[in-house]
Amino acid sequence: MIGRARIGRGGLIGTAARTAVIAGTATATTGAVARHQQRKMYDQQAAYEQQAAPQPVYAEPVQAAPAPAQVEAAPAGGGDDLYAQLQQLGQLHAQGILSDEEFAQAKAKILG
Amino acid sequence: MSDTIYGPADFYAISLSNGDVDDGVRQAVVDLLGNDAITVVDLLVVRKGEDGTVDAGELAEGVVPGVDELGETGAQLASEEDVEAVAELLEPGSAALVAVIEHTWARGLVEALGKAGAEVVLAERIPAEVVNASADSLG
Repeated sequence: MIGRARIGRGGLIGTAARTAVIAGTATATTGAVARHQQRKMYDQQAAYEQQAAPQPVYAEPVQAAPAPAQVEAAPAGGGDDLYAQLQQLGQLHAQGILSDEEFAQAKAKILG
Repeated sequence: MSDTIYGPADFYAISLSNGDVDDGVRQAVVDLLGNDAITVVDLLVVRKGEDGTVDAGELAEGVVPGVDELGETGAQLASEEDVEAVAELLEPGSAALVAVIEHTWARGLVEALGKAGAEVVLAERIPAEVVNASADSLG
């Protein structure tokens, strides 16, 4: 069971990463943590979208092939998210959290 | 608020292959507790169930056999957010030992820097391999 004192506070990892970015002292190490956090954030977002997306699909009469429907469903509501992701990506790149190469890779991934 | 001026701390998440803290790791942690240069300020086990549910085992629950408490500087510094960040790295059905280890030796330095208005503009952990390679290259 998660201890009560742990709940409702910012995390050490996230706070350290944010502080380093704000203070402009993000070094290779803290940068790596921040990069990792950001990547996880994107993964999480993607996971949420995938989790959220199939629900309306299941509600429709066609229930035969949920797996491909899930794949198709993700981009359907993803227009705004795509833009937001690209914007975030641009910010991370500008802040130096993502290298040019990583930025290009991530952008290519988002644009699919 | 704590009156203690802590030094910087490292956050470690160590994956536990069989989901349990083995004797060697436990002994290593016990040895750390007796080290004056550092303080283990937090210690817990993060578990991720097969269904993806996340749980954190507290010391008080005996998650690290032989280590029931961390002494007066022990605190639940790692938050739920940290627990979740660690859990994201774990495969379902696995666990990690999380340790927040404070550099107690740096407390005096932190206090002195604060009083002097000096700032740490760069702090970098250099991996042991790099330090050793650099030392070797000196001949």
